[in-house]
Amino acid sequence: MSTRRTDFELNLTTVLRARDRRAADPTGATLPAGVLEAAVEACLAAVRPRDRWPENTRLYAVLRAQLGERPYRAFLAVGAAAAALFAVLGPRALSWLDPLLRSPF
Amino acid sequence: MAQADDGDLRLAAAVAAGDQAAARRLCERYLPRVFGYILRRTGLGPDTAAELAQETVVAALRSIQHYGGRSSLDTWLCALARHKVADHYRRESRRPASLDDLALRGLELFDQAPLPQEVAERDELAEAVHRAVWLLPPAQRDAVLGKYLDGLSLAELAREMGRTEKAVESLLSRARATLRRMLAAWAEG
Repeated sequence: MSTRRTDFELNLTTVLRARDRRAADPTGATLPAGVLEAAVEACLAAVRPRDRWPENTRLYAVLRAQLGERPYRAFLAVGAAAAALFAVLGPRALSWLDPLLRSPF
Repeated sequence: MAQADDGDLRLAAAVAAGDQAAARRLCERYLPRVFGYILRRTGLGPDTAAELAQETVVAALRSIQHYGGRSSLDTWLCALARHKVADHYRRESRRPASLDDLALRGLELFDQAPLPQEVAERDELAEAVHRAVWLLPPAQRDAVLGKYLDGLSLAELAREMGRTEKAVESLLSRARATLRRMLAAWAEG
């Protein structure tokens, strides 16, 4: 029984390490061509905001950048846009605020 | 287990904040390491190993907020890679697809005599043995790879696995019994 176990363990060691020895050779563990480039693309896509409104919109990115660099101008621009909407559409432009303000939440 | 350093924590925080350059850095630094790790510890070919390495790194980027810094990024990624490899083997049919005559002879002899070198170095046999090891329950698999591939002593394995030496010996004993059964069944076809 002990001989059988020794043979089994010896074979297990030899077979598992045969692969390890070959992979340890620098030429045996080189990524196949093009894999790194494709993986980098997949990685960048994985960290891009997806299905997240409004973070994935261009307007949001511009506003955020402007808020960081010139906050007063950005506030003025947003205020002016809201005022223009109000001027064109009247109180209806802000009517969506009413249910929101009355909501128990 | 390797500890996280400041570089690991800074890189993970930058990726979590959506920094594309940091994501690129993480991918370029760790993809080759994960690939080498998978290749050395499995019977998989380079293409499948590369595919699983990419899946591992992408999964790591998507769940980087769960990286708590308790271990190095390298250790964390290798743990993710082990899950990916185990999933891969579970998804495939249990028996290896290609067992040529020499590999079958190796499986028959496995428990009976030291294998001749040309049999022991046969890719098909290595694929079958690695597959059997990866189909073991995770603790048994880690014990087998630690002892027979990495050559760790029982004491080292016990420390690494956070178990007593007796518990590790018991894991190894159960693992050997399961492997014997699995390899004998594959030898019979």
